[in-house]
Parts: sequence; C-alpha cells; structure tokens
Amino acid sequence: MTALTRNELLKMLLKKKMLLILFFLLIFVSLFSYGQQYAYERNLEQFEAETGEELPDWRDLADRRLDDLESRRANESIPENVRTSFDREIQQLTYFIENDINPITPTAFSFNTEFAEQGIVLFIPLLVIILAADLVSGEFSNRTVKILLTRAVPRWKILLSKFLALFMMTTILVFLVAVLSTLVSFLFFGEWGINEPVLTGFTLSEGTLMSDSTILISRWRYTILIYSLVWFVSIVIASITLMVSVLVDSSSSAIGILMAALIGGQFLQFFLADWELVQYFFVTNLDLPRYLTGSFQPVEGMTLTFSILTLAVWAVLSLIIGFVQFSRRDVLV
Amino acid sequence: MYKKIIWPVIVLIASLLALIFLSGFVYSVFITTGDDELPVDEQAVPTDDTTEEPIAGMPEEAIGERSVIDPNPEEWETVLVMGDSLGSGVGDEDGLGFDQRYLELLSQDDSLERELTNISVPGFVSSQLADQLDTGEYDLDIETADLILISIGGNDLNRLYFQDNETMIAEFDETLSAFLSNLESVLTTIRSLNPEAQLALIGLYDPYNLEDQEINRLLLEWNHASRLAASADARLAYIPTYEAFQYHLADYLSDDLFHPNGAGYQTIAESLYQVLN
Repeated sequence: MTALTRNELLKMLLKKKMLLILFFLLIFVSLFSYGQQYAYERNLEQFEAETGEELPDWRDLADRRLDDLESRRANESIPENVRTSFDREIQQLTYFIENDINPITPTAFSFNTEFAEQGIVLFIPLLVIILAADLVSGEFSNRTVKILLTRAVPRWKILLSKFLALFMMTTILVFLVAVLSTLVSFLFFGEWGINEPVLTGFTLSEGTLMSDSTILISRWRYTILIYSLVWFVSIVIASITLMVSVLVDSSSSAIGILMAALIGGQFLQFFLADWELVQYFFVTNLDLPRYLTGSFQPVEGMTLTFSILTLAVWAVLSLIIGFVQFSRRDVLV
Repeated sequence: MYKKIIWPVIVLIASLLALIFLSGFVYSVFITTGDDELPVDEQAVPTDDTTEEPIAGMPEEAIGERSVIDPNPEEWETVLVMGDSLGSGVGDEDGLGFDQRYLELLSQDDSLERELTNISVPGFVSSQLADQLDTGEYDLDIETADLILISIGGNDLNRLYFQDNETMIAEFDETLSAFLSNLESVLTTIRSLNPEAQLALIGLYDPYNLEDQEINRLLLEWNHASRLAASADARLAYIPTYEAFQYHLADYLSDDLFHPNGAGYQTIAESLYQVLN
C-alpha cells in the first residue's frame, strides 16, 4: 500500500502539474497584491484631491474613537454583553495605537486571508481540479490503466493510493497558497501585520448575526483558521473531482464538468436564492470563511456547521460512488 | 536520489500540515457555534454602532397647538435623557452631548442645581427603548424626573438606508408604524409613571445629505409622523433638527459623518432652549 501511494505521488510530481499551478498562483497573487496596493494609494490620493487637505492623522481619529468607546462603556445602563463588545474594540484600537500601525494599511497577513476568502469559491477549487482531474481518467486516455490493473492488488487499493497521494498534494497545495500569497504580498506592502488583533467568532442567533460572542485573536492564528477551512474545502473538491475522474474517460471532460458545476453553482445561488434545494448543493457551501469574518447575509438554516456537514456528505458520497464504480468498471482500453 | 528523498519529505510535511489544519478547522467550528446555546438577551442586541442612528428633525410647520401649559424651566430640577447614541453624546469632542449643553444654557438664566440622569444606549432602536422602560428598572428615574429628553428613531430609519431603493420604500411604512407604536408605548409608560413631567422628542436630521428626493421625502414623512404623534401630548415638545443641519452638515457632523459634533449638539441644545424656554 505504501509503495502504491508512493508510486502515485511520484507520478503526480513527475507530471509537473504542480509547477503549472504554482505559476498560476504566482501570477494571480502578484496581480491582486499589486491591485490592492494601487487601489490603496489611489484612495489616499483621491481623498487629498477632493478635500484639498492632508489625510487627517489616523491616530487622532483612533484616539477620539477610543475616548468615545470608553465614555460609552462607562454608561451604566449599557447591557453587559454590549460592554464586552466595546472592550474588544478598545483592545483592538489600543493595539494599533500602541504599535503605531494604521489599521487600514494593507499587510501581508491580511492579504493572505483576503486572498483565501476571495479565491475559495472559484480559484482554489480550480487549482485542486487541475491537480486531480486526470488522476484516473488520464490513465484511461493514456491507456496506462491496463498496466496499473495487471498488478496483483485489488482495485480499491489502487484508487485508495491515488486518493492518499491526492490528499497529501492538496494539503501541500493549500500550504503553498498561504505561503506564496503572504510572501508575494509582503514584497508589495512591506508590512507583515502578523500580530494584529482580528475580530472573529460571530454566531447566528434567531437569524441575526451576533457580535457579542466575538473574540479577538491575532492575525497569524486567524490565518491558520481561514486556511484550515480552505483545506477542508479543497479536500472535498478533491474527492468530488476524483469521482468525476473515475466516471468519465478523458481529463478534459472531467475538468469541463467540474468547472461547469462551480460556475453554474454560482449562478444558481444568485438566481434561485429562495429555492431551498440550492442550499444542499456543494458549490453554495464553499464559502466557509465568511462565517468567520461575519460578512454574510444570514440565510435561514445556513451556518458553518450546516455547510460543513453538507460538504462532508458530498465528499463521502463521491468517494463511495468513485470506489464502487472503479471496482466494477469494465476496462476495455 | 530526488525520488528517494521527496517521498518521506512530502509524507512528513503533508501529515504535519493536515494535523495543523484539522485542529484549526475544529477550532473554527467551535468558536462559531460555541455560544449558540447561550440565552440571548433581546434587549442587548445593539450592533457595534456603525449602524447607528441619527437623522433628524423637521421644521417647517409652525409650532402649533401645543403648550397649553407653559413650561417652567425654573422648576426643572431633575432631568432624564433616554434613547440612542445621540442621547449619550456620541461624536461630541467635549463629551457633553445636547443634554449637558442644554443644562449649561439653562444655568445662564438661573443658578438652580440640576441633576442629570442619562440612560441612553448607543445603537438603540425604538423597540429596545420600549423594552428598556418595560423592565421597570428605571421607573424611579422616570417618576422623579421633571424634564425627560428622548432621542429615538434614527437607528430604526437608518437600517432602511442599507437596502436598495425599492425594498426600502416597501419597508418604510412597516418600519414607521412599528416606530410609532413603540413610541406610543414609551410615552404611555412614562405618562403612567409621571403625568406631570415636561417631555421633549428630538427630531431626526439627514446625516447623508442625499440628493435623492425620494429618501428625503421619506425622512420628512417620518419626522412629520412623529411630530403628529407628539402633538397628542400637550407637554411633549417636538424639537426639529432637520433644517438646522440641512445646510451645515460639514460643520455639524463629527468625523464618523453620522453623529453630530460639539457644534451640532450645541445647535440641538439651542433648539431645545428655543422651544422650551
């Protein structure tokens, strides 16, 4: 089994698809960080042009906001949980003031999470699909599957070894996305922002977003959380891709089917938002990080747990179908 | 050589990363669901604030029928302020708010020592104010107050601003009638405890200076409706702020471009003075 997995892994590496993926990543990350840096500078310029004044010192604004929060906090008629949410904002502001960091400056660590948040519905799944789509279908179109199956191992072991290799590569891919987006954006922004406090932990209660359960955590921890979700999503996409790859004969139709599902899913979400079944489609649930940032419109019944369960069910079903189909399939090539 | 090394390296890195991701994953689930079972204190849901309040007042119609009974500022010893962030003076550089600024104006006329209680909570909408009074916690404050200043409604209306035009217009009537019934409930609560006190309701101004006629019309309609509601009580004064802010937004708004600054609060205090004294 180990030997099989090792064999599969080496096959994936030798195809050099990882290099293609890294190349894509590099281009996109550079473009996005350049764009963000550009937009940031433009905004500053525009502000100065419009108002004819220098940008007000952010520290003044932050100080005033801090005073304001503190005086509000001292108000006895404020309920306890509102007070704690003030406390968290005070803490956050104090950090920025003490460390002399303007909260709106883009930093490498805020970029890498933003990149993940934006990329998780389309771009990162696309990379995983490139990685996985030809795993099985490629063996058929190259006719190498005969050689693979003539070995004295059960078919399920062969597919399992492929899945394990894919699992490892996907994990490494997610890590590379994180590392590349951090490093490249650091070149543009020149700030790490590694310890900035971030607000997270929003909960839903009776259909409203609750901010009083939030906690402050530092940027790098937050990055790990976001990328953990990205990782989960990637593994789910990898499982689904593996199934499609078993079902169709050529890698290009595998990629086509999956891209159509991803893009079509976005449309579905947009046009049929009221249709309850759409909630159970995997594409609708890909955007997990939004539950952490609290930047989502609460939809009835959609919570992080719900999305994760839906995705997990899709992954497990895909694997089952994939394994069953692969074991039964007639190999005629 | 490459093949020999790469395999253990990849296995090691991948399992390590998988472990980290898995724990991060579990933690994310934990923090977003951890508090789910906690009972939610309804009254305490005000959002962080950006979604807060004001929009103010309405001027034109003459100060009509009210004040059958002349207010007697000389006798007001206890002042109570309730409502949203406007009531608590958010945005005022000196932290005074219109209440303290008004008392300063009063103290120029006489030397009476006045006691001020402020129970405003930034972010409050009208239903939260009604609930706050219903708890009975402030009954004593209401009973003993001679003058009660109320600033409410800005957050109710401001919530609508975040929607697109059509939804907003459709929901406007609903929000307004909910606001009016909450206002009525607030006034009934106050009057059942204290039939004598002089009340004042601060009108809404428009912090956005919108060119959109439709939205402006809705704001004026809102002010008009609250003014009509106020006229039912002879000792309830409506304090217009819309006109005062209309052409002076830049001078009267604080840095958040939503709450008044010191000068803005001073204007509200002066309107109070004009109407009540």
